[in-house]
Amino acid sequence: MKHDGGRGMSSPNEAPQLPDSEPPLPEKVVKVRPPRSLRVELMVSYLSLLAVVVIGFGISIYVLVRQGVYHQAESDLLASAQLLAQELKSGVAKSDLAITQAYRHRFGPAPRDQAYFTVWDPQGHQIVNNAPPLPHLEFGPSEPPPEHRRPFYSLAHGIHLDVYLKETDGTRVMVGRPMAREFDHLNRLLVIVGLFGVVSLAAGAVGAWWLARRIVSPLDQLTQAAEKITAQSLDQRLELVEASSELTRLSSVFNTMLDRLHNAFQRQIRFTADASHELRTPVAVILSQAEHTLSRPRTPEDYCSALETCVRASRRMKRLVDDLLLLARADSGRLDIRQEPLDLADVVRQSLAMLEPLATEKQIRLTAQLLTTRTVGDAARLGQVVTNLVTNALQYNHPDGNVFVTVHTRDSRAMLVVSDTGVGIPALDQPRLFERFFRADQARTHSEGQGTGLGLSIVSEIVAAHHGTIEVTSELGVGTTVTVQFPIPETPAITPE
Amino acid sequence: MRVLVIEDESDLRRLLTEILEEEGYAVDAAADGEDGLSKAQMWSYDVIVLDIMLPKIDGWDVLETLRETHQTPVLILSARDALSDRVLGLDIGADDYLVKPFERLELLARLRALIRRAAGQTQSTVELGEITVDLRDRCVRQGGQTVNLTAREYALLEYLAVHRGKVVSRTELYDHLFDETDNSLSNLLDVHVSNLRKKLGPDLIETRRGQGYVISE
Repeated sequence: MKHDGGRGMSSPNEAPQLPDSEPPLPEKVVKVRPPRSLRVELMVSYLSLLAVVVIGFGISIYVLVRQGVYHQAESDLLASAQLLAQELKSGVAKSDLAITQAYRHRFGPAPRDQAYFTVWDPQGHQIVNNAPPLPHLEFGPSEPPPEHRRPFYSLAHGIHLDVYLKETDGTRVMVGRPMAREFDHLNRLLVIVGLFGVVSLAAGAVGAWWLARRIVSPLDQLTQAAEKITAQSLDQRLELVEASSELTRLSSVFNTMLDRLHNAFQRQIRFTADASHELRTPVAVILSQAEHTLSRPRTPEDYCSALETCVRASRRMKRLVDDLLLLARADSGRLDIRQEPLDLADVVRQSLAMLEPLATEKQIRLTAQLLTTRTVGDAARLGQVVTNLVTNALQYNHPDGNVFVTVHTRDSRAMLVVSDTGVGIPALDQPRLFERFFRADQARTHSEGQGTGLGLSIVSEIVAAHHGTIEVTSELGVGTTVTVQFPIPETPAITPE
Repeated sequence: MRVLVIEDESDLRRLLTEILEEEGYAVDAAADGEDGLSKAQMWSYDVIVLDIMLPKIDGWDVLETLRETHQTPVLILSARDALSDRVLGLDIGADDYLVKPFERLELLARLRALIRRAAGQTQSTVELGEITVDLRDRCVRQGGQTVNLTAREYALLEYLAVHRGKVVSRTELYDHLFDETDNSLSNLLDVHVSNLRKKLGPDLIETRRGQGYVISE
């Protein structure tokens, strides 16, 4: 009842070799059995099994009953044959020989049931014969049946059963009878067994249909629900009112998968919307500046300032595109992190030097305590981490505030700590800090030098690529401390460059 | 016509101001929602260009608060292009929604349409006897001949023509024709009116003593 045996062979490369006698076909005909419905499969299996059981059972009953009937008939015929032989011995006249009354009743009163007999003397001469001329009784008057060793044996011809008895003196008796009555019973039994078989197969078919439906309908439900779910309607969920534990588990696993897909899609949609939104403003500046400037003749100064505006907007776009590219690389696992020996303190020193003007402009004291910390990593990317963290610390700060950066080693881990006395981050926003385009203050300003909203996401990706961790502690109105830890590899190239 | 631009991106704010001023509008600008809302409530603008993502008070709140007291036409100019944003913007009281990046000519046309509709005007030309004021091309024709007007003169005539039949006070004219940086000398208006009368005939603009000026229908 399993049909998957053929399916494994259906690959076109493994087509069975055709016998040589057959002419080669112009094209390979590979029969691919269309998948059968589970419902049909279940019903066929169930019904076949039931049919085997019912038919086997019916045949067994019939055979057993028939054997019993023959056995009974045989022993009755043998007994009456022995009685005949005894009567003959006790000197009853040949013409008076007859089946006793008791057995005649047993065999049945109707003429068609009547027994017949033949007696041969030890010399093999037929002495009594009241058998009708039946075709199977071919032994003539002087032709006794062949010799046999056993005291008796029986032969069945059609509905006739004949028992041959050999007395010790050589006298032989044959008693036979048509078993019409017994066959009536047997035929009735056959009909009853047959009817019972048909009824139970019919009941089985109904049961199988119901069972198959019960098994398949939750699957159908599942399929229909799953069909309705597309990328646009990922918020739908499968519901199973009544189903087996396997299917309930399947649907809950499916729903969990949908949850994850839905979230991923939502993140993707939001990310794309945010990215395009961030790009729209600089594009708007460039487009309207260009259109405005071109709308009438301008002085050279006007052209210069227009180009400066376009350059500013383009720089902002470039920064955004660079950041997006970095994140896209990180997402696809192609963020190539160089493994070079470096001193984290050096990296931080260089980044801070570039940020000094911004700190001065914002009137913030930028101080650092940098201890030599040799490790392995990508200096350019780590510099980006420092720049982004310190820029945030400067950005979300008050004039006269402080930003303090330290680098040191602790428990064979490289530590980078950036703490500020800035505005702090509300506790509610802290878990979302590293989300792309997330800004703790929705009321942001597009002032010069401001980031793209991707700074911390990039920090998080670069730190993760260095197998490091980030920890943020912040109190509203007091300040924020960001602690980044990197594991120092076991065999850092301590050799000075 | 006087316009308020509420936009936080400094380059775009400056650009919008320049574009609109070149078109003869008196332009005020605000860099955040708070400043924008207070200006919008203080002055009566002909139209407001409003960004959504603003510091301090966002554009939605500015619009909702403003709509409690003012009917000033508002055009939302936002980078947010989602259908839900556009629907929300129009539903909470914006008169138009334009997505960044925008075409300069489209922005100007939409602003003209908003001003026209707010004044109950359906066409982009106003016929005053044999004088035609073309609101789209910003020019005035008398008997088929184009009349040379300065930007201020045109703005004054346009305002009176759009509101023709209604007496417009001197204060209202000051509010709508000059931005907050203009040094509004009280006799500046009289000079423009007398110049218009010289160029277009003495009977076009009537003076209602103690009330203001009117162009009768």
